[in-house]
Amino acid sequence: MRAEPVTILHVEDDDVDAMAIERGFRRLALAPPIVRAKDGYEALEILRGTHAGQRLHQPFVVLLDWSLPRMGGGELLARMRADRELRTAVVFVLTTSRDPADRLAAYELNVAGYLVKSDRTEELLPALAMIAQYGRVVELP
Amino acid sequence: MDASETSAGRYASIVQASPDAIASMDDRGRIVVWNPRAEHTFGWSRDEVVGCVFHEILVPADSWPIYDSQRGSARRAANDSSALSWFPLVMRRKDRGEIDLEVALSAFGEPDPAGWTAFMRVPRDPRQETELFRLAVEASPAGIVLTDEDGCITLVNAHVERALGWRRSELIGQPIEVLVPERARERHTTERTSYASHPERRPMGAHRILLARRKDGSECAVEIGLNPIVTARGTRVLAVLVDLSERQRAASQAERTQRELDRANLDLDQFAYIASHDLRAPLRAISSLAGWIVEDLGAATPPSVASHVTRLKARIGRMERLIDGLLQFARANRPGDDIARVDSAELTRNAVALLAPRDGLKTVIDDTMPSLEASGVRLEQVLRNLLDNAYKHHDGKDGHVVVGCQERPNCFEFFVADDGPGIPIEHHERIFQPFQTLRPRDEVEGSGLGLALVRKILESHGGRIWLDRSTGRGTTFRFTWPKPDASGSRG
Repeated sequence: MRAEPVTILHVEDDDVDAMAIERGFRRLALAPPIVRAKDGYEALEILRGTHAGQRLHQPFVVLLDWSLPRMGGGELLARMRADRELRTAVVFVLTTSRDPADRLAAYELNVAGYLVKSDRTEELLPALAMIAQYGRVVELP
Repeated sequence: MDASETSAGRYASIVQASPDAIASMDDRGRIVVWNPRAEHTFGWSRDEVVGCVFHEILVPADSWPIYDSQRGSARRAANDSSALSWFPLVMRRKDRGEIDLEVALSAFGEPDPAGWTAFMRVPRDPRQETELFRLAVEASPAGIVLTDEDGCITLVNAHVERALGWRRSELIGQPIEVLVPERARERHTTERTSYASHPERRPMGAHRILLARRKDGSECAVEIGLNPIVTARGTRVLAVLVDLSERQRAASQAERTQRELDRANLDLDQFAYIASHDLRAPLRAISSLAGWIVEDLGAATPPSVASHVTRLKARIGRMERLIDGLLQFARANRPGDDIARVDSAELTRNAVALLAPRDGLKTVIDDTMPSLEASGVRLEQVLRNLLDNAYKHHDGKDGHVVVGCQERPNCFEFFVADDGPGIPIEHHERIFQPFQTLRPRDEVEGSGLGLALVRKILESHGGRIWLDRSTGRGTTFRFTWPKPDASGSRG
């Protein structure tokens, strides 16, 4: 078990949705470091360490919104899985889509979990608590 | 027994039984013998004509010249039955109508005729029958072509001239292949030859689209039926052509319309998806932000701000329901794609469970609720919306809603009846219009589209909905759901 919280790379284009995650963790009295990427391109730069401003330290997990502009969540995930360095990253998908096709596509790219966003913050909390716990308990690559 | 008497009796019975009309006259033309066939042909009974002059009652003025001339011939050929010949004559019946007959006259007695006999029959002149045939062929709304064993055209009718642009004089004597597009001629000739060895009544080229060639070279889609006709002059083939171009036009129009419909439905689906996704996202954000305002202000939230935020959230909720309602409404006239045998009682139970009415409201599902062939999704939508309406508007602590059905020959007539406040008659039509609520918006949560949606679904399935016209408390909605055979093509 790890004492310090694991870093979360949150790939999300909507600021309000991003804020909801932050506030959710705060409600749980958790404060994992969160690195925010607003789209897939930014996320790749951060993951590869080529981003100008943001640094991402191990260990981390990725919290990925499935519907992103320009490069969709599925496409980002596929690129990560094709990249030798990024292939083993732990990814949770957080999305509004209930579409079984999307869910299947995500698991076929080896996500650790597929979570459906709901409209109410309360319903988000168990998911966030789980992610934080995951980061503490599980041995990450 | 006297031999002459027997033979006279026999001859008499022969005349009586003859299928030809027979009249015999004395030397002055007065009718002496009139057989039953003559009675039938002319309408005069024997008693009425005996003693009357034959040509006065039976030969109209126009026919007199022929009759007179034939009588002269008969007189000259008197007693020589081999000279008997039939001639056509127009005669007159009792009802003064004229009738075409064939007549043979015979005179007997010498030196001057002691009497005459007229044999009369309905003509079997092949010339007249051919004339009838020709008229029927000319008037036919289908094209008719007659060809001989070598495939040469011997007859065409007016329809062929019109549809294919040929004059018949240009076609008669020509090989039938002149009406066949050039690329198909060889095949046609081969098939025609094999048909001639086994002619039978059948359609030509089943499963193929046949094309006939017009004079101007253009082609016309046709259906052809072949009929062999054996005549004294050899086997003819009667071909009946039906012009398919009208049918083809209608079919391609239908195809075009279907494609447009498919495109429109696709557009609608896209619109629905975009609306659902992209309208809801900002709404969610607004709702979250409103909540966070209050959270962040915490204890320092002025009561008015808190109350504003509550109303804000309520309005947002209404907007979300509105979006859902609009989307359902937009897609309501698409038939449900889940047509199957459904248990309407179970659909009702599901709807009740989903709506979860408050404790005091009891719902009774009558055992008249049938199993039927229908789209479960659509029927459930209708039942659910009507139940929702009943629950929302009930004003009492306790209430009853009854759901039942009456089977009719062509449809099922369902009803949803409640004992709530009732709907005044003057509003019976308005309530089915979108956004027409009878109570203030804040008191009743709803999109305002429920009944409009129900009506749209029902009408697009061939059903209808109405209210029982009753005054006082209670509301009963009745709606019909057609049975599959009644509404033609479904599913």
